[in-house]
Amino acid sequence: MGDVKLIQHLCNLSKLTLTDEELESFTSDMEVIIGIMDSIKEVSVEGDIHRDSGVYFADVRGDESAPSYPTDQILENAKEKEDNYFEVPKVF
Amino acid sequence: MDFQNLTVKDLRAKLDQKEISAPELTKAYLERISEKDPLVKSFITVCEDSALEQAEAAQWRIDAGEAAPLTGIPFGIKDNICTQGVKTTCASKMLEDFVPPYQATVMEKLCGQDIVMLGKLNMDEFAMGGSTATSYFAKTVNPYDSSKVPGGSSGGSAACVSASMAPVALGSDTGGSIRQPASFCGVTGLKPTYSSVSRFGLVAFASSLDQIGPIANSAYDCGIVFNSICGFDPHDGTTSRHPHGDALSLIGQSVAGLKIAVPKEFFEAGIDDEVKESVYAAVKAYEAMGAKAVEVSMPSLKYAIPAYYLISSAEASSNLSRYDGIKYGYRAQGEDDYNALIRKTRDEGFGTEVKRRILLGTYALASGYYDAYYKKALYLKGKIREEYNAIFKECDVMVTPTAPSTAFGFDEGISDPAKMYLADICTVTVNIAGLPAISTPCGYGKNGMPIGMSIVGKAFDEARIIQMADAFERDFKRVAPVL
Repeated sequence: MGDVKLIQHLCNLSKLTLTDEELESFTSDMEVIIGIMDSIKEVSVEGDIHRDSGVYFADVRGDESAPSYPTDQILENAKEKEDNYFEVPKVF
Repeated sequence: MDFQNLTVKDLRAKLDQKEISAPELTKAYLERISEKDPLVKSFITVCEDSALEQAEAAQWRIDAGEAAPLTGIPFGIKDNICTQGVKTTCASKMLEDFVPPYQATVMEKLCGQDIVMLGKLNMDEFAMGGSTATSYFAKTVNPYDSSKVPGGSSGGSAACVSASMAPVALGSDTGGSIRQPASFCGVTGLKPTYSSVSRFGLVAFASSLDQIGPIANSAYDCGIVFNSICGFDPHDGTTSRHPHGDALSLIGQSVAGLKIAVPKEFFEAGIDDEVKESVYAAVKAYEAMGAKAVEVSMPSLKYAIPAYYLISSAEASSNLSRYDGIKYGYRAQGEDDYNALIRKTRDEGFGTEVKRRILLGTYALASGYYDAYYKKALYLKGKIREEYNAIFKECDVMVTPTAPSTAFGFDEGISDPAKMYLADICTVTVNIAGLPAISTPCGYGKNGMPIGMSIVGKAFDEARIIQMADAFERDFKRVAPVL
């Protein structure tokens, strides 16, 4: 995976921008990390993959309305806001 | 006040017998924090004023004869657990100013008992790491040797309890983040069965693996806290309706006749000799108590690191996509394009290790790689669970080292990601299988650093592993840290 283009592709998918220095160090780090991950390629999959995943899902709760958090509290952590809205740059 | 190894159980008795009041106890710990924490650096936020107010409320309850098991007990809380009105940073620049408008369920439960929250504890950024050195704020040091790491990601929680700045703390464990720092800092840490403790309000890292649990001075104390925080939560659809019994119900019972699985792969290459010797000696101590050790095998252990890192990073890459600078958290300046703002925010707000995990997770899930990596990791997850199930058909518990070595130095390659990932080998399978495990000190290395052993149990069998750890702790003499 020591491939700068691949790292750039992954950065695009995950909305990250790396500096040239970061790009270089991440490319070599990821090569080593993927080398570790590659050992599972020798495993052959037999049977059902999703068997007994270990995540216990409780009963789905009823579709009942309940009080929501007040708007002012939710907006409190936003860095930029106007009236009852989050403020964002122009999207289009 | 002699703080060393002071347990929640001791403090409960002192509070109920009016040997000390809750405000006096809180003041004593706050003084201890101001004396010790400039050296240890385990706290991100100390809540002096609110702690004293909570202590007053706790005292009212104690005086009214209505104390719950944790009323008036001072706690430290890992800084990825949402605390209403108190900053919850995840040790990240991204959440440096984030003040949750709600409590995590575990905090609702603990505050319902009128605990005292001393403050919020340092950790690896977004719980990704085993050293606490990836924190944006400070480098917590090991109370046994300040040139060494406290472990991670709950390094602040373990160091704080180890240095007696709180008798108990909450941590979280995705791949060993409670047990490994407990081992490094010479204290006891419990990772509960997946689904037994609500994750509502725990800032998500890898949702199928994360669990909140206690770090304390004894297995007994871990049991008291577990009893108080476990149970179904309508806010977390992955919590189980399993009827949790009393996790302390087996305390003091003989361990004679119990079968201890000793998996040979956990004692092979890569594990330091002094760690192996200490854990084997602990198994011998159990045999002297009448338990029977059985050598077993877990062949899939060699794939545990890739399976864990692929699953956890895949989930992290999805969970961390919420940090966009719009709704809460850090927001970059100087961008007037929507996508550029998000990218700059994430670039400036996340640290190196977090970015690395996001990239790895994105890779594992990306078109063209999914079948080769993520799907195989899920297959291995099932396989590892099956291997545990087979072992637990024959045995009651399993004993392994908690970490391959004692705490490593800040200068021993902690910035080498591959080295750090491989060091998680002893802990990650427990998360993959969703099982409970407790780490307790079982020896000290030649350099005086603590060695921990892990006792792994069947799902929902916290009572058994707490009984086993307690049985060992009764005769084990702990050495105090230097800080």
